[in-house]
Amino acid sequence: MIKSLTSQLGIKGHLTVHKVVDGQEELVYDEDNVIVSGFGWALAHLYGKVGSDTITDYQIDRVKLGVSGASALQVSTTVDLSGPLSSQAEYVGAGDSNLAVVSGFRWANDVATTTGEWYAKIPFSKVTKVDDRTVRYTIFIDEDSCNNLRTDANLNEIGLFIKNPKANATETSVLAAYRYFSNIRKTSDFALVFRWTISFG
Amino acid sequence: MFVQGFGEVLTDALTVNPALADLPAASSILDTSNFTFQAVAFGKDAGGFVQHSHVIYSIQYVNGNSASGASSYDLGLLNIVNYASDAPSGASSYIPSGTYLKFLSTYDSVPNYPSVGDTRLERGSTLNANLSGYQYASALPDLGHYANPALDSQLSSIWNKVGGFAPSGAATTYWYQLYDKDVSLINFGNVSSFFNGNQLMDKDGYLTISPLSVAALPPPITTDFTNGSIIVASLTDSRTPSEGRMILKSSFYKGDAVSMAAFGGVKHVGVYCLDLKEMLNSSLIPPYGWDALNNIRKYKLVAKVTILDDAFYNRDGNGEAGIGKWLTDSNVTISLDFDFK
Repeated sequence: MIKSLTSQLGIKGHLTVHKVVDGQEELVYDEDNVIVSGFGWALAHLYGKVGSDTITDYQIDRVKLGVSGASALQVSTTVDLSGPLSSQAEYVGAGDSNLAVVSGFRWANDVATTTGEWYAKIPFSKVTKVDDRTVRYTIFIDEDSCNNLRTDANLNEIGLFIKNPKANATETSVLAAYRYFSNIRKTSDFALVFRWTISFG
Repeated sequence: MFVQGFGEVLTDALTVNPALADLPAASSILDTSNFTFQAVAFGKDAGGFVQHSHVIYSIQYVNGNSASGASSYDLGLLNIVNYASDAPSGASSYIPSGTYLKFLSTYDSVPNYPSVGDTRLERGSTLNANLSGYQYASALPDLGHYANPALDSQLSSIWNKVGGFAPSGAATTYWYQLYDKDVSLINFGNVSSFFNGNQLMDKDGYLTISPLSVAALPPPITTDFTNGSIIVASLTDSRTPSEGRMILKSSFYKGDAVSMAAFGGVKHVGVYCLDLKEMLNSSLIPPYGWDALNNIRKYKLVAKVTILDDAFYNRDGNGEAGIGKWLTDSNVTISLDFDFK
Protein backbone atom coordinates (compact mmCIF):
# COMPACT_ATOMS: atom_id res chain seq x y z
CA MET A 1 0.00 0.00 0.00
CA ILE A 2 1.30 3.44 -0.90
CA LYS A 3 1.37 5.87 2.00
CA SER A 4 0.13 9.35 1.22
CA LEU A 5 2.45 12.32 0.99
CA THR A 6 1.15 13.89 4.18
CA SER A 7 1.76 10.76 6.23
CA GLN A 8 5.16 10.05 4.65
CA LEU A 9 6.54 13.52 5.18
CA GLY A 10 4.56 14.27 8.31
CA ILE A 11 3.05 17.44 6.85
CA LYS A 12 1.33 19.41 9.59
CA GLY A 13 -0.63 22.59 9.76
CA HIS A 14 -1.09 24.74 12.82
CA LEU A 15 -3.39 27.72 13.26
CA THR A 16 -3.47 30.39 15.89
CA VAL A 17 -6.06 33.17 16.04
CA HIS A 18 -5.46 36.37 17.94
CA LYS A 19 -7.77 39.25 18.70
CA VAL A 20 -6.00 42.58 18.47
CA VAL A 21 -7.36 45.42 20.61
CA ASP A 22 -5.41 48.65 20.87
CA GLY A 23 -2.34 46.89 19.55
CA GLN A 24 -2.50 44.14 22.17
CA GLU A 25 -2.85 40.56 20.95
CA GLU A 26 -5.01 38.08 22.81
CA LEU A 27 -4.74 34.41 21.81
CA VAL A 28 -8.24 33.02 21.23
CA TYR A 29 -7.48 29.86 19.31
CA ASP A 30 -4.49 27.51 18.96
CA GLU A 31 -4.93 24.15 17.17
CA ASP A 32 -3.58 21.92 14.44
CA ASN A 33 -5.47 21.87 11.16
CA VAL A 34 -6.15 19.54 8.26
CA ILE A 35 -4.24 19.51 4.98
CA VAL A 36 -6.92 18.51 2.48
CA SER A 37 -6.71 16.48 -0.69
CA GLY A 38 -6.74 19.57 -2.91
CA PHE A 39 -3.14 20.20 -1.90
CA GLY A 40 -2.11 16.81 -3.25
CA TRP A 41 -4.29 17.27 -6.31
CA ALA A 42 -2.41 20.46 -7.15
CA LEU A 43 0.97 18.79 -6.54
CA ALA A 44 0.01 15.90 -8.82
CA HIS A 45 -0.64 18.39 -11.60
CA LEU A 46 2.68 20.12 -10.92
CA TYR A 47 4.73 16.92 -10.78
CA GLY A 48 2.69 15.24 -13.49
CA LYS A 49 3.54 18.19 -15.73
CA VAL A 50 -0.06 18.71 -16.77
CA GLY A 51 -0.79 21.94 -14.93
CA SER A 52 0.48 25.49 -15.11
CA ASP A 53 4.10 26.11 -16.12
CA THR A 54 4.48 28.92 -13.60
CA ILE A 55 5.26 28.03 -10.02
CA THR A 56 3.36 30.97 -8.57
CA ASP A 57 0.12 29.38 -9.79
CA TYR A 58 0.75 26.64 -7.21
CA GLN A 59 1.28 29.06 -4.34
CA ILE A 60 -1.20 29.60 -1.53
CA ASP A 61 -2.15 33.22 -2.07
CA ARG A 62 -5.76 33.48 -0.92
CA VAL A 63 -8.07 32.60 1.90
CA LYS A 64 -11.78 32.23 2.54
CA LEU A 65 -13.54 32.89 5.81
CA GLY A 66 -16.86 31.34 6.66
CA VAL A 67 -19.69 31.20 9.14
CA SER A 68 -20.89 27.57 9.13
CA GLY A 69 -17.82 25.63 10.16
CA ALA A 70 -17.99 22.19 11.67
CA SER A 71 -15.49 19.75 13.06
CA ALA A 72 -16.89 17.15 10.66
CA LEU A 73 -15.38 19.16 7.81
CA GLN A 74 -11.89 18.67 9.14
CA VAL A 75 -11.24 15.76 6.85
CA SER A 76 -9.06 15.44 3.79
CA THR A 77 -12.03 15.24 1.43
CA THR A 78 -13.28 18.75 2.20
CA VAL A 79 -13.24 20.94 -0.91
CA ASP A 80 -14.70 24.20 0.38
CA LEU A 81 -15.92 25.99 3.46
CA SER A 82 -19.42 25.16 4.59
CA GLY A 83 -20.63 28.74 4.65
CA PRO A 84 -18.02 30.97 2.97
CA LEU A 85 -18.49 34.71 2.90
CA SER A 86 -20.32 35.13 -0.35
CA SER A 87 -19.88 38.74 -1.33
CA GLN A 88 -17.26 41.42 -1.52
CA ALA A 89 -19.33 43.40 0.97
CA GLU A 90 -19.10 40.68 3.60
CA TYR A 91 -15.30 40.91 3.46
CA VAL A 92 -14.71 44.63 3.18
CA GLY A 93 -18.02 46.24 4.18
CA ALA A 94 -18.35 49.94 3.62
CA GLY A 95 -15.40 51.09 5.70
CA ASP A 96 -11.70 51.40 5.03
CA SER A 97 -10.89 47.73 4.92
CA ASN A 98 -7.33 46.83 4.00
CA LEU A 99 -8.36 43.47 2.57
CA ALA A 100 -7.85 42.87 -1.12
CA VAL A 101 -10.60 40.57 -2.34
CA VAL A 102 -10.88 38.82 -5.66
CA SER A 103 -13.47 36.73 -7.40
CA GLY A 104 -12.63 33.43 -9.00
CA PHE A 105 -13.72 29.88 -9.57
CA ARG A 106 -12.77 26.79 -7.57
CA TRP A 107 -11.76 23.19 -8.22
CA ALA A 108 -13.92 20.64 -6.39
CA ASN A 109 -13.17 16.94 -6.95
CA ASP A 110 -11.50 17.70 -10.29
CA VAL A 111 -14.45 19.74 -11.54
CA ALA A 112 -14.25 23.52 -11.83
CA THR A 113 -17.10 25.60 -10.49
CA THR A 114 -18.48 28.22 -12.84
CA THR A 115 -19.95 30.71 -10.41
CA GLY A 116 -17.72 33.41 -9.01
CA GLU A 117 -16.62 33.00 -5.40
CA TRP A 118 -14.91 35.55 -3.18
CA TYR A 119 -11.45 35.24 -1.72
CA ALA A 120 -9.26 37.51 0.37
CA LYS A 121 -5.74 37.75 -1.00
CA ILE A 122 -2.74 37.02 1.23
CA PRO A 123 -0.10 39.65 0.44
CA PHE A 124 3.25 38.04 -0.37
CA SER A 125 4.79 40.14 2.38
CA LYS A 126 2.73 38.03 4.79
CA VAL A 127 4.19 34.74 3.53
CA THR A 128 7.15 33.83 5.68
CA LYS A 129 9.70 31.08 5.22
CA VAL A 130 10.21 30.16 8.86
CA ASP A 131 12.88 27.57 8.11
CA ASP A 132 13.85 25.22 5.26
CA ARG A 133 10.63 23.20 5.60
CA THR A 134 8.15 25.56 7.22
CA VAL A 135 5.94 28.30 5.76
CA ARG A 136 3.78 30.69 7.74
CA TYR A 137 0.85 32.65 6.35
CA THR A 138 -0.34 35.66 8.30
CA ILE A 139 -3.88 36.81 7.54
CA PHE A 140 -4.75 40.14 9.02
CA ILE A 141 -8.44 40.99 9.26
CA ASP A 142 -8.42 44.62 10.28
CA GLU A 143 -11.04 46.45 12.34
CA ASP A 144 -12.96 47.47 9.21
CA SER A 145 -13.18 44.01 7.66
CA CYS A 146 -15.70 41.21 8.01
CA ASN A 147 -18.08 43.25 10.14
CA ASN A 148 -20.90 43.19 7.65
CA LEU A 149 -21.88 39.52 7.82
CA ARG A 150 -25.28 38.02 7.35
CA THR A 151 -27.61 38.28 10.34
CA ASP A 152 -26.26 36.81 13.59
CA ALA A 153 -23.36 35.20 11.84
CA ASN A 154 -20.07 34.40 13.54
CA LEU A 155 -16.79 33.70 11.85
CA ASN A 156 -15.89 30.09 12.61
CA GLU A 157 -14.07 28.54 9.65
CA ILE A 158 -11.15 29.38 7.40
CA GLY A 159 -9.51 27.80 4.38
CA LEU A 160 -6.26 28.38 2.50
CA PHE A 161 -6.44 28.15 -1.29
CA ILE A 162 -3.85 27.49 -3.99
CA LYS A 163 -3.99 30.17 -6.67
CA ASN A 164 -4.63 28.60 -10.08
CA PRO A 165 -2.92 25.20 -10.61
CA LYS A 166 -4.21 24.63 -14.13
CA ALA A 167 -3.65 28.20 -15.32
CA ASN A 168 -7.33 28.72 -16.16
CA ALA A 169 -8.25 32.01 -17.82
CA THR A 170 -10.44 32.79 -14.83
CA GLU A 171 -8.35 31.98 -11.81
CA THR A 172 -9.63 28.67 -10.45
CA SER A 173 -8.33 27.86 -7.01
CA VAL A 174 -8.30 24.74 -4.90
CA LEU A 175 -8.62 24.31 -1.14
CA ALA A 176 -5.33 23.27 0.48
CA ALA A 177 -6.06 23.47 4.19
CA TYR A 178 -9.15 23.87 6.37
CA ARG A 179 -9.88 24.71 9.99
CA TYR A 180 -13.03 25.13 12.03
CA PHE A 181 -12.66 27.37 15.07
CA SER A 182 -14.82 28.65 17.91
CA ASN A 183 -17.27 31.42 17.07
CA ILE A 184 -15.98 34.95 16.76
CA ARG A 185 -18.47 37.79 16.31
CA LYS A 186 -16.36 40.26 14.39
CA THR A 187 -16.87 43.94 15.12
CA SER A 188 -15.01 47.14 14.43
CA ASP A 189 -13.67 47.08 17.99
CA PHE A 190 -10.89 44.66 17.16
CA ALA A 191 -8.83 43.09 14.42
CA LEU A 192 -8.03 39.41 13.96
CA VAL A 193 -4.70 37.84 13.11
CA PHE A 194 -4.62 34.29 11.79
CA ARG A 195 -1.14 32.75 11.78
CA TRP A 196 -1.17 29.55 9.81
CA THR A 197 1.99 27.48 9.80
CA ILE A 198 2.55 24.52 7.49
CA SER A 199 5.53 22.24 8.14
CA PHE A 200 6.81 19.75 5.57
CA GLY A 201 8.48 17.16 7.77
CA MET B 1 9.14 7.50 0.34
CA PHE B 2 9.40 11.25 0.19
CA VAL B 3 12.38 12.60 2.10
CA GLN B 4 12.95 15.94 3.76
CA GLY B 5 14.48 17.34 0.60
CA PHE B 6 11.01 17.29 -0.90
CA GLY B 7 9.74 19.40 1.97
CA GLU B 8 12.52 21.88 1.24
CA VAL B 9 11.55 22.05 -2.44
CA LEU B 10 7.88 22.56 -1.56
CA THR B 11 8.79 25.31 0.87
CA ASP B 12 10.90 27.03 -1.77
CA ALA B 13 8.04 26.73 -4.28
CA LEU B 14 5.53 28.24 -1.87
CA THR B 15 7.78 31.13 -0.93
CA VAL B 16 9.50 32.15 -4.16
CA ASN B 17 8.71 35.80 -4.77
CA PRO B 18 6.06 36.34 -7.49
CA ALA B 19 7.58 39.76 -8.18
CA LEU B 20 10.42 38.01 -10.00
CA ALA B 21 8.02 37.80 -12.93
CA ASP B 22 8.71 41.49 -13.54
CA LEU B 23 12.49 41.01 -13.71
CA PRO B 24 13.46 39.69 -17.13
CA ALA B 25 16.81 38.39 -15.89
CA ALA B 26 15.23 36.40 -13.07
CA SER B 27 11.75 35.52 -14.27
CA SER B 28 12.81 32.05 -15.39
CA ILE B 29 13.24 31.15 -11.73
CA LEU B 30 9.45 30.91 -11.68
CA ASP B 31 9.38 28.14 -14.27
CA THR B 32 7.99 24.97 -12.73
CA SER B 33 10.92 22.93 -14.08
CA ASN B 34 13.06 24.38 -11.29
CA PHE B 35 10.84 22.61 -8.75
CA THR B 36 9.75 19.39 -10.47
CA PHE B 37 11.39 15.97 -10.75
CA GLN B 38 14.43 16.18 -13.02
CA ALA B 39 16.55 13.09 -12.51
CA VAL B 40 16.60 9.50 -11.33
CA ALA B 41 19.58 7.57 -9.95
CA PHE B 42 20.04 3.93 -9.04
CA GLY B 43 21.92 2.37 -6.17
CA LYS B 44 22.43 -0.72 -4.09
CA ASP B 45 23.98 -1.95 -0.87
CA ALA B 46 27.34 -0.33 -0.05
CA GLY B 47 29.02 -3.74 0.20
CA GLY B 48 27.97 -4.52 -3.32
CA PHE B 49 30.27 -1.86 -4.76
CA VAL B 50 33.26 -4.15 -4.16
CA GLN B 51 31.42 -7.32 -5.17
CA HIS B 52 29.76 -8.72 -8.29
CA SER B 53 31.45 -7.41 -11.44
CA HIS B 54 33.24 -4.70 -9.44
CA VAL B 55 35.76 -7.41 -8.50
CA ILE B 56 38.94 -7.38 -10.52
CA TYR B 57 39.54 -10.77 -12.02
CA SER B 58 42.30 -11.77 -14.36
CA ILE B 59 41.26 -13.93 -17.24
CA GLN B 60 43.80 -16.45 -16.04
CA TYR B 61 42.24 -16.51 -12.60
CA VAL B 62 38.78 -16.81 -13.98
CA ASN B 63 39.94 -19.82 -15.93
CA GLY B 64 41.18 -21.48 -12.81
CA ASN B 65 44.81 -20.43 -12.93
CA SER B 66 46.44 -18.18 -10.38
CA ALA B 67 46.76 -14.55 -11.35
CA SER B 68 50.05 -13.45 -12.77
CA GLY B 69 49.58 -9.70 -12.55
CA ALA B 70 47.75 -9.61 -15.81
CA SER B 71 44.50 -8.17 -14.58
CA SER B 72 44.48 -5.03 -16.74
CA TYR B 73 41.11 -4.50 -15.17
CA ASP B 74 39.79 -7.55 -16.95
CA LEU B 75 40.97 -6.44 -20.36
CA GLY B 76 38.15 -3.97 -20.66
CA LEU B 77 35.55 -6.70 -20.58
CA LEU B 78 32.58 -6.84 -18.25
CA ASN B 79 33.25 -10.18 -16.61
CA ILE B 80 30.47 -11.87 -14.68
CA VAL B 81 30.92 -14.94 -12.53
CA ASN B 82 27.69 -16.69 -11.68
CA TYR B 83 28.33 -18.58 -8.47
CA ALA B 84 24.82 -20.01 -8.57
CA SER B 85 24.97 -21.28 -12.11
CA ASP B 86 23.70 -24.70 -11.07
CA ALA B 87 20.47 -23.23 -9.70
CA PRO B 88 17.32 -24.19 -11.61
CA SER B 89 17.08 -22.07 -14.78
CA GLY B 90 20.23 -20.28 -13.67
CA ALA B 91 22.91 -21.59 -15.98
CA SER B 92 22.99 -18.51 -18.22
CA SER B 93 21.73 -15.92 -15.77
CA TYR B 94 23.41 -13.81 -13.12
CA ILE B 95 22.06 -14.68 -9.70
CA PRO B 96 23.32 -12.17 -7.09
CA SER B 97 22.36 -14.44 -4.19
CA GLY B 98 25.14 -16.79 -5.32
CA THR B 99 27.66 -14.02 -4.66
CA TYR B 100 25.97 -13.18 -1.34
CA LEU B 101 26.33 -16.76 -0.19
CA LYS B 102 29.88 -17.29 -1.41
CA PHE B 103 31.16 -14.18 0.37
CA LEU B 104 28.78 -14.35 3.30
CA SER B 105 31.48 -13.83 5.91
CA THR B 106 32.64 -10.55 4.38
CA TYR B 107 29.66 -9.28 2.42
CA ASP B 108 26.70 -7.54 4.03
CA SER B 109 24.29 -7.33 1.11
CA VAL B 110 21.51 -5.45 2.90
CA PRO B 111 20.98 -1.87 1.72
CA ASN B 112 20.47 0.92 4.26
CA TYR B 113 16.95 1.12 5.58
CA PRO B 114 15.48 4.33 4.14
CA SER B 115 15.11 7.37 6.35
CA VAL B 116 13.14 10.55 5.76
CA GLY B 117 16.37 12.41 6.52
CA ASP B 118 18.37 10.77 3.74
CA THR B 119 20.17 13.01 1.26
CA ARG B 120 21.69 10.16 -0.75
CA LEU B 121 20.64 6.62 -1.62
CA GLU B 122 23.19 4.58 0.34
CA ARG B 123 24.70 6.16 3.42
CA GLY B 124 27.81 3.94 3.38
CA SER B 125 30.70 4.52 1.01
CA THR B 126 30.10 3.44 -2.56
CA LEU B 127 33.74 3.72 -3.58
CA ASN B 128 35.45 0.64 -4.95
CA ALA B 129 38.50 -0.27 -2.87
CA ASN B 130 39.46 -2.80 -5.53
CA LEU B 131 40.56 0.12 -7.71
CA SER B 132 43.03 1.65 -5.27
CA GLY B 133 45.93 0.77 -7.54
CA TYR B 134 44.45 2.56 -10.49
CA GLN B 135 46.13 5.87 -11.36
CA TYR B 136 42.94 7.92 -11.20
CA ALA B 137 41.06 6.00 -8.54
CA SER B 138 40.57 9.18 -6.52
CA ALA B 139 38.55 10.61 -9.39
CA LEU B 140 35.68 8.30 -8.50
CA PRO B 141 33.19 10.28 -6.40
CA ASP B 142 31.43 8.73 -3.42
CA LEU B 143 27.93 9.30 -4.75
CA GLY B 144 25.83 6.83 -2.79
CA HIS B 145 24.67 5.34 -6.08
CA TYR B 146 25.97 4.04 -9.40
CA ALA B 147 28.21 6.37 -11.38
CA ASN B 148 28.42 6.50 -15.15
CA PRO B 149 32.17 6.36 -15.78
CA ALA B 150 31.78 6.22 -19.54
CA LEU B 151 31.52 10.02 -19.55
CA ASP B 152 34.38 10.63 -17.11
CA SER B 153 37.69 11.12 -18.88
CA GLN B 154 39.63 9.68 -15.95
CA LEU B 155 37.40 6.69 -15.36
CA SER B 156 36.08 5.72 -18.76
CA SER B 157 38.84 3.17 -19.30
CA ILE B 158 37.70 1.22 -16.25
CA TRP B 159 33.96 1.51 -16.80
CA ASN B 160 33.79 -2.26 -16.45
CA LYS B 161 34.97 -2.08 -12.80
CA VAL B 162 33.44 1.20 -11.65
CA GLY B 163 30.00 0.30 -13.00
CA GLY B 164 27.18 0.52 -13.49
CA PHE B 165 26.86 1.48 -17.18
CA ALA B 166 28.84 0.77 -20.32
CA PRO B 167 29.85 3.28 -22.95
CA SER B 168 27.93 3.33 -26.19
CA GLY B 169 29.52 1.91 -29.28
CA ALA B 170 29.62 -0.65 -31.99
CA ALA B 171 28.52 -4.20 -31.44
CA THR B 172 31.96 -5.61 -30.77
CA THR B 173 33.32 -2.75 -28.66
CA TYR B 174 31.82 -3.24 -25.21
CA TRP B 175 31.50 -6.84 -24.32
CA TYR B 176 30.32 -8.92 -21.41
CA GLN B 177 31.38 -12.49 -20.64
CA LEU B 178 29.34 -14.65 -18.31
CA TYR B 179 31.18 -17.47 -16.52
CA ASP B 180 29.64 -20.27 -14.54
CA LYS B 181 30.74 -21.21 -11.03
CA ASP B 182 33.44 -23.43 -12.50
CA VAL B 183 34.69 -20.37 -14.40
CA SER B 184 33.85 -21.69 -17.81
CA LEU B 185 32.62 -19.16 -20.34
CA ILE B 186 28.99 -19.80 -21.11
CA ASN B 187 27.55 -16.61 -22.56
CA PHE B 188 28.67 -13.28 -24.03
CA GLY B 189 27.31 -10.26 -25.86
CA ASN B 190 27.41 -6.52 -26.38
CA VAL B 191 26.55 -4.23 -23.44
CA SER B 192 26.56 -0.91 -25.31
CA SER B 193 24.51 1.55 -23.25
CA PHE B 194 21.16 2.93 -24.38
CA PHE B 195 21.45 5.72 -21.81
CA ASN B 196 24.84 6.80 -23.11
CA GLY B 197 23.88 6.27 -26.73
CA ASN B 198 21.09 8.79 -26.26
CA GLN B 199 23.04 11.07 -23.89
CA LEU B 200 20.51 10.64 -21.11
CA MET B 201 22.84 10.16 -18.14
CA ASP B 202 25.66 12.35 -16.81
CA LYS B 203 28.93 11.06 -15.41
CA ASP B 204 27.51 10.98 -11.88
CA GLY B 205 24.77 8.57 -12.87
CA TYR B 206 21.86 11.01 -12.96
CA LEU B 207 19.37 9.87 -15.60
CA THR B 208 17.41 12.83 -16.92
CA ILE B 209 13.61 12.91 -17.01
CA SER B 210 11.82 13.82 -20.21
CA PRO B 211 10.62 17.44 -20.04
CA LEU B 212 7.11 16.49 -21.14
CA SER B 213 4.84 14.00 -19.45
CA VAL B 214 3.17 11.29 -21.47
CA ALA B 215 -0.15 13.09 -21.04
CA ALA B 216 1.34 16.29 -22.43
CA LEU B 217 2.87 14.68 -25.51
CA PRO B 218 1.07 15.10 -28.81
CA PRO B 219 -0.74 12.00 -30.01
CA PRO B 220 -0.04 9.23 -30.54
CA ILE B 221 0.99 8.91 -26.92
CA THR B 222 3.90 6.52 -26.64
CA THR B 223 6.19 5.28 -23.99
CA ASP B 224 9.27 6.59 -25.72
CA PHE B 225 12.31 6.56 -23.43
CA THR B 226 14.72 8.26 -25.84
CA ASN B 227 14.39 11.51 -23.86
CA GLY B 228 14.92 9.88 -20.49
CA SER B 229 12.62 8.59 -17.81
CA ILE B 230 9.01 9.54 -18.36
CA ILE B 231 6.25 10.99 -16.24
CA VAL B 232 3.00 9.15 -16.93
CA ALA B 233 0.07 11.39 -16.08
CA SER B 234 -2.28 10.17 -18.74
CA LEU B 235 -5.98 10.43 -18.24
CA THR B 236 -6.23 6.95 -19.68
CA ASP B 237 -4.01 5.61 -16.95
CA SER B 238 -5.37 4.74 -13.54
CA ARG B 239 -2.71 6.92 -11.92
CA THR B 240 -3.89 10.35 -12.95
CA PRO B 241 -3.33 13.79 -11.44
CA SER B 242 -7.10 14.03 -11.07
CA GLU B 243 -6.67 11.30 -8.47
CA GLY B 244 -3.63 13.04 -7.01
CA ARG B 245 -1.31 10.44 -8.50
CA MET B 246 1.27 9.93 -11.22
CA ILE B 247 3.90 7.40 -12.30
CA LEU B 248 7.59 7.83 -13.04
CA LYS B 249 8.96 5.16 -15.37
CA SER B 250 12.60 4.38 -16.11
CA SER B 251 13.49 1.75 -18.65
CA PHE B 252 16.74 -0.19 -19.01
CA TYR B 253 17.30 -1.41 -22.52
CA LYS B 254 19.71 -4.11 -23.59
CA GLY B 255 23.24 -3.39 -22.38
CA ASP B 256 22.06 -1.21 -19.51
CA ALA B 257 19.94 -4.05 -18.16
CA VAL B 258 22.79 -6.54 -18.50
CA SER B 259 25.34 -4.30 -16.79
CA MET B 260 22.93 -3.46 -13.96
CA ALA B 261 22.38 -7.14 -13.32
CA ALA B 262 26.11 -7.85 -13.51
CA PHE B 263 27.00 -5.19 -10.95
CA GLY B 264 24.49 -6.50 -8.44
CA GLY B 265 21.31 -4.85 -9.61
CA VAL B 266 19.20 -2.09 -8.14
CA LYS B 267 18.08 -1.87 -4.51
CA HIS B 268 17.61 1.89 -4.30
CA VAL B 269 15.91 4.24 -6.73
CA GLY B 270 16.27 7.95 -6.08
CA VAL B 271 14.21 10.80 -7.50
CA TYR B 272 15.73 14.26 -7.64
CA CYS B 273 14.67 17.85 -8.12
CA LEU B 274 17.09 20.61 -8.96
CA ASP B 275 18.91 22.12 -6.01
CA LEU B 276 17.92 25.62 -7.06
CA LYS B 277 19.38 27.30 -4.02
CA GLU B 278 22.74 25.64 -4.51
CA MET B 279 22.85 26.56 -8.19
CA LEU B 280 21.92 30.19 -7.56
CA ASN B 281 24.61 30.31 -4.88
CA SER B 282 27.02 29.11 -7.58
CA SER B 283 25.91 31.95 -9.87
CA LEU B 284 24.11 29.54 -12.17
CA ILE B 285 21.00 31.26 -13.50
CA PRO B 286 18.09 29.32 -15.05
CA PRO B 287 17.03 27.97 -17.44
CA TYR B 288 19.14 24.90 -16.75
CA GLY B 289 19.27 22.93 -19.97
CA TRP B 290 20.19 19.26 -20.03
CA ASP B 291 23.67 18.39 -21.30
CA ALA B 292 24.88 14.91 -20.42
CA LEU B 293 28.49 15.71 -21.26
CA ASN B 294 28.68 18.93 -19.27
CA ASN B 295 25.86 18.81 -16.78
CA ILE B 296 25.70 21.96 -14.67
CA ARG B 297 22.60 20.82 -12.83
CA LYS B 298 22.90 20.17 -9.12
CA TYR B 299 20.36 17.81 -7.64
CA LYS B 300 18.53 17.33 -4.37
CA LEU B 301 17.13 13.93 -3.36
CA VAL B 302 13.37 14.24 -2.83
CA ALA B 303 12.14 10.64 -2.85
CA LYS B 304 13.60 7.17 -2.68
CA VAL B 305 12.55 3.58 -2.85
CA THR B 306 14.55 0.80 -1.19
CA ILE B 307 14.01 -2.90 -1.74
CA LEU B 308 15.79 -5.92 -0.30
CA ASP B 309 15.57 -8.00 -3.44
CA ASP B 310 17.31 -7.18 -6.68
CA ALA B 311 15.04 -5.53 -9.24
CA PHE B 312 17.08 -7.24 -11.98
CA TYR B 313 16.08 -10.77 -11.14
CA ASN B 314 16.70 -12.95 -14.19
CA ARG B 315 16.48 -16.62 -15.08
CA ASP B 316 16.81 -18.71 -18.21
CA GLY B 317 13.62 -19.58 -20.00
CA ASN B 318 12.18 -20.69 -23.31
CA GLY B 319 15.58 -21.68 -24.53
CA GLU B 320 17.07 -18.27 -23.97
CA ALA B 321 19.84 -17.16 -21.63
CA GLY B 322 18.38 -15.10 -18.80
CA ILE B 323 20.92 -12.33 -18.93
CA GLY B 324 21.21 -12.46 -22.69
CA LYS B 325 17.46 -12.15 -23.17
CA TRP B 326 17.75 -8.43 -22.49
CA LEU B 327 20.00 -8.03 -25.52
CA THR B 328 17.29 -9.02 -27.92
CA ASP B 329 13.85 -7.60 -27.45
CA SER B 330 13.37 -7.24 -23.75
CA ASN B 331 13.93 -4.51 -21.20
CA VAL B 332 13.48 -3.79 -17.52
CA THR B 333 11.14 -0.95 -16.55
CA ILE B 334 11.03 0.43 -13.03
CA SER B 335 7.78 2.25 -12.27
CA LEU B 336 7.38 4.47 -9.23
CA ASP B 337 3.83 5.28 -8.23
CA PHE B 338 3.37 8.61 -6.43
CA ASP B 339 0.38 9.49 -4.28
CA PHE B 340 0.31 13.18 -3.35
CA LYS B 341 -2.99 13.10 -1.49
